[in-house]
Amino acid sequence: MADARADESDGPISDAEPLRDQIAVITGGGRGIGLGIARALARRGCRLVIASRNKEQVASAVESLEAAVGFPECDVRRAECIERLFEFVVERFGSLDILITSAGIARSPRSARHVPSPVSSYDEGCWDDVIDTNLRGVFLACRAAARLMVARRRGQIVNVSSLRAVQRGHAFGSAYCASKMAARALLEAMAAELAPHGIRVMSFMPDVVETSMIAATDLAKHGSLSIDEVGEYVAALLALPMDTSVEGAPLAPLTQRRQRKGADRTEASA
Amino acid sequence: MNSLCDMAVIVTGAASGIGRATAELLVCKGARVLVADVSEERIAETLAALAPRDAPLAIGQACDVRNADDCQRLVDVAQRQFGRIDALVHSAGVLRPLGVRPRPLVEVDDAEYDAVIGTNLKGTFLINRAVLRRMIEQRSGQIINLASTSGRRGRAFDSVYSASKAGVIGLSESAAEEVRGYGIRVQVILPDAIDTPMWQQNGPVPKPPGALPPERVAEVIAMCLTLPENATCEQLIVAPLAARRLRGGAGSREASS
Repeated sequence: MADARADESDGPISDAEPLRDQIAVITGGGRGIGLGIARALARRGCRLVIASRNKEQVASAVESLEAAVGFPECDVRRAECIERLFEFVVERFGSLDILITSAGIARSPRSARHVPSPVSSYDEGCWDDVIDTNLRGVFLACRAAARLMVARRRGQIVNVSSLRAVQRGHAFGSAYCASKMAARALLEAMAAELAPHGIRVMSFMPDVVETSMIAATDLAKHGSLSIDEVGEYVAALLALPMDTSVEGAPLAPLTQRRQRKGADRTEASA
Repeated sequence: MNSLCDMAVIVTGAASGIGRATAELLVCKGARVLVADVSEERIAETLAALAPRDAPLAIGQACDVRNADDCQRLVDVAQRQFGRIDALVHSAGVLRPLGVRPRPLVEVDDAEYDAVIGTNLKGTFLINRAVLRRMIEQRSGQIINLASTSGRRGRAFDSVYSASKAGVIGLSESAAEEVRGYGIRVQVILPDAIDTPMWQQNGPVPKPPGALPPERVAEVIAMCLTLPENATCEQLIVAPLAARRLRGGAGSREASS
């Protein structure tokens, strides 16, 4: 398939609307960062497939977006769900240009909230829930997308990672940090494998973002980014010329450190 | 979201390579640009090239970033011409002195060390200090310093350059933390192999195949300049997509040997 933009390699002026009419599939697109990315891509003229386990969230996301279709009851841990998702995409659109894997959990929905979960007492089923969603789910979706993209020699994949979780392991976040570090390695391997096919693969690593995952913690007390701000940034990354690779795309709230320092001082003086 | 239109920007090293591509892109997007470079002649050339782009607000000022007075003069000129300084894109840098071949650390003389560290690291210090003093007064502004992937992983025969760029990363991050309280954002970008005149400083060493044109880094700089005001990008690496292929290729060769 001829695509002028993907082959363009000179001139300082970028295409005004490089993402218009591209097909973007977003797992976990019903809420949080996935929804923020969906909105930003919709503003740039993408046609969207919003996949999520949650029917109501898919319905409300699709209603609020232009040119979006929903794919509810999509549990990324299950191979048959991912298979059906991509069958649906091929049937409806022929292929896809962009995959965003944003479905992720910090802890198993079965685990007790607000109870620290050290490795010594981490439930095996809860461990599997986190790893299967954040790692296996990413693998399954990326594999399916890569097959379609390699055939067309074009495409982009972004996994929503985490700035903190890939820096080091955090106490009581063992499964989450392990899953995010592993997913980053998976994406790096895939980036090298798929670059010869003209496919760009990136891990997007935001710091604290205003999501329900963060609302369950006290992480946002020192500043956070909105889902629309991070969405715009991811859209800007996707709009970069296709010969350019941006590695490890970190984004942090500017206010964070200053406020943290202030808080430390208060604590120290108390 | 910041807009580039009407943004008052100082670009150092603006007469060649990434600096020049950035100046051109910013002017195209409606920014007011102070073209700073060590060479008066190349500034004139650059301004002449920018003129047809309908850029009445591109002006030039010679500046040797190794010299504190030059850096201060640059800030004064920007202040006088623009009334404020919204951004500094600091791209001035050298790989090694002209005419010096790539050589191992054991053969590097003091003069080469002083030249590279003087421009890349002390120059970054001097220009950042001068600009930040002004930005702190105006309680706003942003800086993008250009480092290099060599600052994260040293390369053979580029020891001083690698050290200087690692220093630029450290300096940028420290400055970022110090001034964010004033609403000032300092970011550092790490380009990988880019097809710029800096390769001429590499003597006989050929350009890596697939090196990106400097316009690509300019696009990423523009993207970072227009991030939401309360967001910052940390150590962004800009590389050719094709480099992944080469690196992957090297890996598989190793694996099969």
